[in-house]
Amino acid sequence: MRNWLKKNGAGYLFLLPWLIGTLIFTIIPIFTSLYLSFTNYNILNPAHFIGFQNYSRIFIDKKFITSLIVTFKFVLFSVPLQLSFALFIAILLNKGIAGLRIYRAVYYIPSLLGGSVAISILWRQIFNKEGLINGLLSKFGIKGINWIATPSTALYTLILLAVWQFGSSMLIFLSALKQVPIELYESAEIDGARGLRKFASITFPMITPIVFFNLIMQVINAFQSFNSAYIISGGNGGPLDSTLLYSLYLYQKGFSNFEMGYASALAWILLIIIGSVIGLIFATSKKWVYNQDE
Amino acid sequence: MLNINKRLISIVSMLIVLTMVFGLFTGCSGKAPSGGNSTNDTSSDSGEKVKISFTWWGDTARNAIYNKICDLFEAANPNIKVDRPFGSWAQYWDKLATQIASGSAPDIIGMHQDYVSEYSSRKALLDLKPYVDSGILKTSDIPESAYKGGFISGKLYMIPQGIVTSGYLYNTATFDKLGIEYPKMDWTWEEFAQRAIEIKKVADSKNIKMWGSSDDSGLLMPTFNYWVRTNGQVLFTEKGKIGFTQDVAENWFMFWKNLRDKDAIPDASTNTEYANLPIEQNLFSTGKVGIASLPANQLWLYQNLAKSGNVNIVRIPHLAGKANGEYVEGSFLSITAASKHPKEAAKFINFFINNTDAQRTFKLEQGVPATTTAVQAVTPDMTPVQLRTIKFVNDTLKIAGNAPYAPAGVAEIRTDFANIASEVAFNKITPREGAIKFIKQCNDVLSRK
Repeated sequence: MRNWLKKNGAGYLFLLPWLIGTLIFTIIPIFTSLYLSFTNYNILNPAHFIGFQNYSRIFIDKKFITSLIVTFKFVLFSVPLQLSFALFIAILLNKGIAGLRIYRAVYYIPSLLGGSVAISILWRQIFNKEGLINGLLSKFGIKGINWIATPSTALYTLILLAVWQFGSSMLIFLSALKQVPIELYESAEIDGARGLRKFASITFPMITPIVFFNLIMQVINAFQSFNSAYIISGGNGGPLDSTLLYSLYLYQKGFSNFEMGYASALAWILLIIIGSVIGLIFATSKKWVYNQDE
Repeated sequence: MLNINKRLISIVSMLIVLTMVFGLFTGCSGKAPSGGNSTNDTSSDSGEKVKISFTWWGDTARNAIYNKICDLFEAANPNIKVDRPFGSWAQYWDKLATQIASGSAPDIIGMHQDYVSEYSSRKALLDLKPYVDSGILKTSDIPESAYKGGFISGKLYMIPQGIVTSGYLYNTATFDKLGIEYPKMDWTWEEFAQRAIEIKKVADSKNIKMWGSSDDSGLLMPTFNYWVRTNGQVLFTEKGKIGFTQDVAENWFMFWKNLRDKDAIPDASTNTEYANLPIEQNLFSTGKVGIASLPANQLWLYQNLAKSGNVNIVRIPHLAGKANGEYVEGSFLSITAASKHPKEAAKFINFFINNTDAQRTFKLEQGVPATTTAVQAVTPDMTPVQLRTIKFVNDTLKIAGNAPYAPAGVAEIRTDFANIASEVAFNKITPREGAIKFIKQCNDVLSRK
C-alpha cells in the first residue's frame, strides 16, 4: 500500500479534481437515469418503480418512430457531407498556400460558433422567406420559399448548419495529411500517377485511421444534436415534426410534459442505438481502415 | 541538484492540487441554487431576518414593475428580504418544475390557471385557506367569482392578482387606410370570416401585402375554448375528461381551413415562421394581418408599438344565436408546499394584492387588479389605452362564465393541438382526421395522468 501510494499517489492526487467532477456530474447521474427509466418519475413527486412499462410504451409511440427517422436522416446526411467537405478544404489548405494560418483560423470559426444560440437565430434569418438565400435566388428570378417553415426543407437547413461546422474535423485531417510520407507521392509521380489517382491510391488509404476517428466522433455528436433544432423550431420540432430530433423529443417529454421516467428510458434507448451504430462502424473498419502496424 | 528540483516540483504541485481541490469544494458549496431557501437565514445583527423568494414570468417591463413592488414590500417589512428570480413564459415552466423537484423552488410563484392542476395534483402547492382564516391574507375585496377561481378540488391553491379576458385587436389606422368599417364589439364567427376575407381583398386591390386575420386554429386556450363554449360544451369537464364532441373540433379546423383556402389568413409556412417571435416582430405588429387575438392586458404593448392609430379590442366572436364563449382568465399567486416561510410568503401576497402603492405600481400588468379597492386606486393614473382595457374586461366579465380548469397533462395537450392544427394547415390531414386524432391523443394523455 505504501509503495503503491509512493508510486502513484501524486498521479491520483492530480486526477482528483477531474475524478470528483466525473463522479458527481457524469457517473452518478448516468446510473440515476437508468434507475429512473424504470419508474414513473414526474419531477414533482417521488418516483415509483413500474418495471418495463416505459420501455414497452416507447415501442408503440408514434412520435418516437418519427423522431428516430428524423434523427437517422440527419446523421446520414450531415456526417458524410461534413467529413467530405472538411477533407476537401483540408486538401486545398495542404497545397501550401500563402497565409495558411489565417485560413485555418477562419475556417475553424464556424465550429466555435456553430452550436451557439446566436448562430441558430442567424440561420433562421438567412433561410426566412425574406432572408438572404431568397434574396440571392430572386436575382436569378427564382421565387424562394420559406426554407425553415416548410416541412420538406426544414431539416436540410439544419443539416447545412451542421456541415458548416466542419472546422474541427478539418484541422484533424490537415494534420493527418501532413503525416503522409512525401516519398510515396514522388514514386507515384515517377509511375505517372495524376491528382485523383494519387488521392485514391495514396492519400486516402494513408489517412483512413483519421477518417475513422472523425467518423466516430461526428456520428456520436450528430445523434445527440439538440441546440440548433431547438432554437430554429422554437422548441417544438416543427413544422410537422420535420425537425423533431431525438434529443429534442426527449427534452419535450422530460421538461415540458413532466415525464422524466419516460425521458430517461428514451435516453437509454438512444445510448443503445448510438452504441450499435458505432459497433457497426467498428466492425466494418477492418475492411477499409489501413493500419501501418499490420 | 536534481533532487532538490524534484522535491521542489512535488511540493509546488501538491500546493496546486490542494488549492484546486479546495477551490472545487468551495465552488460547489458557494453555488446555492438561485431562489433557493436552503440556508437558515439568521443574520447576526437583527436576529430575525427572513429571506423569501418570488418568481414570475414576463418581459423587461414586467420585471421593472415587480421589482419595484418587492422593494416596497421590503421597505414596509424591514425584517424580510425578497429574492427575485424570473424568466420568460416558455422557460419559466420548465425551470419551475425542476426547481420544485430539487427542493429549491421559490416560496411565492406566479401561477396560471392552465398549469395549476399540473402542480396542485402533484401536491406542490400550499393550501392558503388557513392564512385567509387567520387574517394574514385579506381576500374580502376580491369579487366572489374571482376568489372561487383559486380553489381546486376544495383547496385554496392560488390568489388572483389580475383578471382578464381575451379578444381580437385591430388598429384603426390600418382600417382607415383600407377604408373598411371597424369590427363590432359583438360579432359572430361568420361576420369574422367575412371581415377577414374583405381585408384581404381590399388590401390586394391597393397592393398592400397583408392578410385578414391571424391563424388561431392552433390555440387551444383561449380561442378554441371559446368555440367549444359557444357550442354549449366545455373543453374539459370538472373530472378532468374532455367535454367536447368530434364534430365541434372538426368544424373548428374546417372554419380556419376555409379562410386559409381563400388566402384570408397566412399560409401554414408563414404561420410557422412567425410562431415564436417576440411581439414587436409578430404578424400584427409588422402590419401583415389586420386582426389578431390576445389577452386584453397586453393591449398597451401593441399600442406602444403602433406607429399611428388606436389599437382597439373587440370580443372573440360567438356563433349566431348561440351561447357566449367568454370565461374568466387571470394570473394568480401561489405558495409552494415546500416553503420554509409560508407565513411571510402569505404576508407578501397580501401586500401584493391589497397595498395601494403596490397596486398603483401593478396597474394592469397581468390583468385588471383582482381587488375592487385596487381598481379604484389605479383608475386615476390610467392612459387612454389602459382605460380601454379596463372597459373591455369589465364589459366581457358581465357575460363571462367560469371554465373548469385544465387537468394535469394540459401542457402536452396544448402542444398536440397546435401540432394537429399545423398538420391540417399543411394539408397533411383533413379537418375530420384532425378532430379524430386530437380526441384520441387527449384521451391518451388524460388516461396516463
